[in-house]
Amino acid sequence: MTSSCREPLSLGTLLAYWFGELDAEAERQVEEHFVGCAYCSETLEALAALGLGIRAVFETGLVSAILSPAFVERMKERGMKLREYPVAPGGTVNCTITAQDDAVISRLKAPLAGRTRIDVLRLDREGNVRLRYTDVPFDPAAGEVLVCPSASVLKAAPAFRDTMRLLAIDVDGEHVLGDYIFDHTPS
Amino acid sequence: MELTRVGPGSDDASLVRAIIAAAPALDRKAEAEICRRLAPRIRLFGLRHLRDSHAAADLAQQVLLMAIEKLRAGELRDPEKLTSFVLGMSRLTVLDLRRNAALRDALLRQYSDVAEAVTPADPKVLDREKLARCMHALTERARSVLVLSFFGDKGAAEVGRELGLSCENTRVIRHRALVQLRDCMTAGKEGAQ
Repeated sequence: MTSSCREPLSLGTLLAYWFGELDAEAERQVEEHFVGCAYCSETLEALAALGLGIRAVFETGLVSAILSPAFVERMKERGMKLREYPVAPGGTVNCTITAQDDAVISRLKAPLAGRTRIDVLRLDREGNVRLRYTDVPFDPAAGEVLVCPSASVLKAAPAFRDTMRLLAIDVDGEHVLGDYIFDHTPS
Repeated sequence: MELTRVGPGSDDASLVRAIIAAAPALDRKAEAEICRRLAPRIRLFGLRHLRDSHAAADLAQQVLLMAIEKLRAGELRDPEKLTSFVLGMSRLTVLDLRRNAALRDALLRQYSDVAEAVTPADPKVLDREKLARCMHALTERARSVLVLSFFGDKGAAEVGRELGLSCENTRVIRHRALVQLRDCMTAGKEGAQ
């Protein structure tokens, strides 16, 4: 890393610049600064590399994520091959992933209006909690939570049953919104 | 023929002065050093505005080709204004690139003698396995915000709207998540999945 800058651009400013959130004058000032500053351009380059890396690990299925419906549409527009499994509460679905698939989307249907916090549990065959995703992001109007498991893990997995449980959390405690059973078989 | 002593320790303006002073001869060392410094910065500018790494690399190459030619011709009167000079060309070239993809080939043909020197180095490539481990150490919410932000190049307002979060909250989550991710990648503090 180049030694220093007397007035380095903050990470918040660089992020706002990168995502086009600054007004025209602020954007011009940021560009005048980093194009003339080795230190800040290296900071921005590291940020850009991280962003490209995040995109790459998601595209190659190395990470799982909770997604929005609009985002799933963007994945399709980019030509990603998706296998989608919409499941109602209490439903069971036979699922798989092929070598040609880029991602699997589990669409967990549930009434979400008025809910403020949702947790997702991953249960094993005995009903023990294997993983808990706390306070997942969701759009209450969407009526579903979209889980995109790691495609690389799924492609290497043997046959298994994965139960996901949606929990709504409020001042009265936890409320089960539904269990969703995925019977996975390898392709 | 090398006319001046410039190198990694020289400031940008000194390099520009060396190039101008050398004309009509060429100070290849100063030109190479200017290109080495500016190429990654112009590429970043290009990535931000074109959102395509190949187009950004093309932009950097084209702008540097033009910049070196103009410096050789003494068209930059104040060497201290190199940044504005380069940014101005970058902005115009982005507009041209959007309008006319054929510009690249024309410029490369016209300035083939300096094309090799101004080819920017490849951007850094991170260890993907390690990055995936670091991302799994984030909260689900933070990971979603980062994926939606960087996959789709979406600002906080749109990401927040899709995830049921306020714009300000999305900015805070994004900022903290990136700091955590950066620390994890640099210090090897990744957590278990």
